[in-house]
Amino acid sequence: MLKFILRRTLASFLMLFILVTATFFVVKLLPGSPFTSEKMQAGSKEILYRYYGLDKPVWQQYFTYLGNLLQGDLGVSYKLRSVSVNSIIASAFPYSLDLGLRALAFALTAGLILGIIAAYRRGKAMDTLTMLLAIIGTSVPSFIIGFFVQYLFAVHLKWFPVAQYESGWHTVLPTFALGLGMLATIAKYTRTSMLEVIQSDFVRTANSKGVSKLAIVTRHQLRNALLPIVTLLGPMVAMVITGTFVVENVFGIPGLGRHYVTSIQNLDYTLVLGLTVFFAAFLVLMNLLVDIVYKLIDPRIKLE
Amino acid sequence: MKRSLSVLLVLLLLLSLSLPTAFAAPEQKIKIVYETEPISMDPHVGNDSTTSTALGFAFQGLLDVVNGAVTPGMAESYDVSEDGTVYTFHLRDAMWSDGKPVTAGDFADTWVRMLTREDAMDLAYLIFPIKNAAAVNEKTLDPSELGVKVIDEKTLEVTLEGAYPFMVTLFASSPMYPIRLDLVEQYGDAYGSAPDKMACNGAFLFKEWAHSDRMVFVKNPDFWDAGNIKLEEISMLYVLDGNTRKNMYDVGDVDFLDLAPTPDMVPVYQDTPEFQFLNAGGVQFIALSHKGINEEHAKITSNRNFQMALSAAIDREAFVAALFPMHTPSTTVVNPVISDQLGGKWGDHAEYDLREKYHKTKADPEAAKAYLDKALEELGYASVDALPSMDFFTTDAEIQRTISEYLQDVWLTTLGVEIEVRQLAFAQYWENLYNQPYDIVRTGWGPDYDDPFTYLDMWDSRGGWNKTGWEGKEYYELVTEANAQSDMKTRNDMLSRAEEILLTEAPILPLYMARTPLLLRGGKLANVGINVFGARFDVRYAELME
Repeated sequence: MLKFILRRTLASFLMLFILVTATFFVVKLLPGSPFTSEKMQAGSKEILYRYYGLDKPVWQQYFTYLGNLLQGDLGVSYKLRSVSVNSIIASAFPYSLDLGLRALAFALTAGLILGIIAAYRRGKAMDTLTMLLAIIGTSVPSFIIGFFVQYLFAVHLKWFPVAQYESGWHTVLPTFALGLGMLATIAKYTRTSMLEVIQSDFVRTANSKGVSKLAIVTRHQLRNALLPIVTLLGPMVAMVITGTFVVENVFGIPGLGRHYVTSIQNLDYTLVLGLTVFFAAFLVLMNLLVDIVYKLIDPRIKLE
Repeated sequence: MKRSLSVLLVLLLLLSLSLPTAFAAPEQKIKIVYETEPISMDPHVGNDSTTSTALGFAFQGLLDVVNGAVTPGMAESYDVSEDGTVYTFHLRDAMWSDGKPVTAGDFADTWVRMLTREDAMDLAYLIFPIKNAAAVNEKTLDPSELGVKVIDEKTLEVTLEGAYPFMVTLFASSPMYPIRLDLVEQYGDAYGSAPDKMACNGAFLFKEWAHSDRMVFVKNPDFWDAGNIKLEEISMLYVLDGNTRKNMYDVGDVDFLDLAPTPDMVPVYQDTPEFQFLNAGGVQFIALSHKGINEEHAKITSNRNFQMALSAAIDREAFVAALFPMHTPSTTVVNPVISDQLGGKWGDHAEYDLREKYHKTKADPEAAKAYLDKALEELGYASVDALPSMDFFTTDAEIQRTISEYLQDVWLTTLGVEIEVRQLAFAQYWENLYNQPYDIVRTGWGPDYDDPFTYLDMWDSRGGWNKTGWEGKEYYELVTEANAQSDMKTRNDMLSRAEEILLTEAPILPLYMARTPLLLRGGKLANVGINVFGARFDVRYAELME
């Protein structure tokens, strides 16, 4: 197990290194400059380039960046001058993390419960209803859901605040908007794999032994039915807690999401790179965790 | 019976608790919402409207601008020499937020830093009217040669290159706010990145900066004019999405909404009492490059008759009506809302009114065709079909696509001139503009200070905006001479002549003048200042009414 984790960690670092390198050079290839603006004076671009070391050869900039990265320093944003990329991530990530975890908790509990019910009430009204919800959840983009619930529950009914992220009350609508898509996917997968498991031999055996219904569902069926969900969950967690532009945008939440979009528009090289590294590291970590969780919940998988 | 009695008692208790608040004065806290956050709280980095607004809460310059009028600031009073070139400021006893006194030296140090710093110098050109400032900026003179002299701790003498009358408003503008050099040294690059890494001297103290979310300012009890400041707290919220901002305004979360980024919402509110237009002084135009994308194109774009053909083909009234109902068609360079330095507005003078003189609001297809025929003859083209398709260059904003398509259609149907629209992301757009490989570009300019020169200065090839390759010798001589005048009438006459040169020689076609549509919580927020530069919308002296 330890050897497995070690090997995977090493591979992860290699992957990150390749990613940083590729992103670094691709960003440099983009035409334009982070400093051009309407009122820029002749010659000031050269001076700024010198100040930020952008006048040096690209390979030299690359090694400087790598050196700083190894010390955990992601550099200074070129757009928000004087603000470090580390502090931008440090101030934005907690919002994305909080919202992501809430959405995950909501999607997981509601999705699993609905999936199980749908599987047991197969073909009945409850099944149809759940699957309808699943279709809506997966096909309607989250910003439409976001604007819809915002308009209905905040502007029209005034039950919840419109935007910002100040109290638990503020989190309800964005959690729902962000979680609905995941909920739908989880419910669909749970239903499918539950149906598979229901018909399997070990369930029939357990049934004939007289094991209680609840024990069959939780101990025998769910544990096996969870496997595809866990696979799904790795990248899903990484995506959702590192910030989603769309939902954060609709509800004015100062998470990481907007920076993915604006940093590219502004050609804010350091911020683009910093976010890429951060997001990739998270994705890699989540995939590693998924592999470990697999081992824990699936007796059929043996890790050498 | 007993239960209903207790419910009644509780209700009564609640009512009695809530009653006093219902009659108390409203809490003086407001929330205003903007699209994006200021780029820095270091006054030398940016002077866009949002940045200037935030800086204006936390800082005050030697002078101030309240609702368009220049008022005393850190300087109680000032004297100007007879020729208008030497200003002597007498500072009041004011304190920084950390308790240190605001001194004349703070201002002198700040401006030297502004001219000599390596990392943010885009705004340095603004103080070039100060004697030797340009040379200090170019490092040809030592900073000690700068025309700024600290007479004593409370007296500052500023010598100008000429009698630039607009310096009065510049002394009040955000790029000239003082900062504390000792704190800059202490915090290095991080100066101004957080409330605890700077000091303020303004009407409000900078309390909180949650990036991309909000800035919070609280009343500065030690501000010299604190007695006239009514608001206790101002929260500037930053919400990227226009629809969300609208919803926040609709439910009463915020008291102010700038509709400029979302012009499609104007019709929704246009007839409500909360809606108002603010003439922000912006000018929008089409410019042609003398260099073009290649030599052949350069000959065409620098041909005056070709330029006039394009101009005469545009129906500015129809253009504005179709795309920007809130803006006004424009045929001149100087926005009439700007100060005439005689206590009035540029627009008050009929003799400076160049509207309809060179460019027309209504399209004139006949004249346009005649201009084009002349251009084709001069350039040696048999017909318009022989003319190459011209490059039209703009940003990738949604609205720019619409503008481009409109003009593309107009020029093709009226003249038969084809253009190819090229849209680039903002950063690439400016980069390309500086290198000048373009034929035709659509762009604009907002005033930096309250003076007609702000619109003329930009056509100086040494700085400003002029990215057309046009160089008007007579023009430079005229504006330079104008700024040496101490008589404002003479100066205005000269500036008007300079504007005339721009309209007859420079490759620019005026298009429209921008107005900012905004919503102010009706009847609730009083005493809001409106300015043509810096903080367009100033709530420092505002008050919440019942």
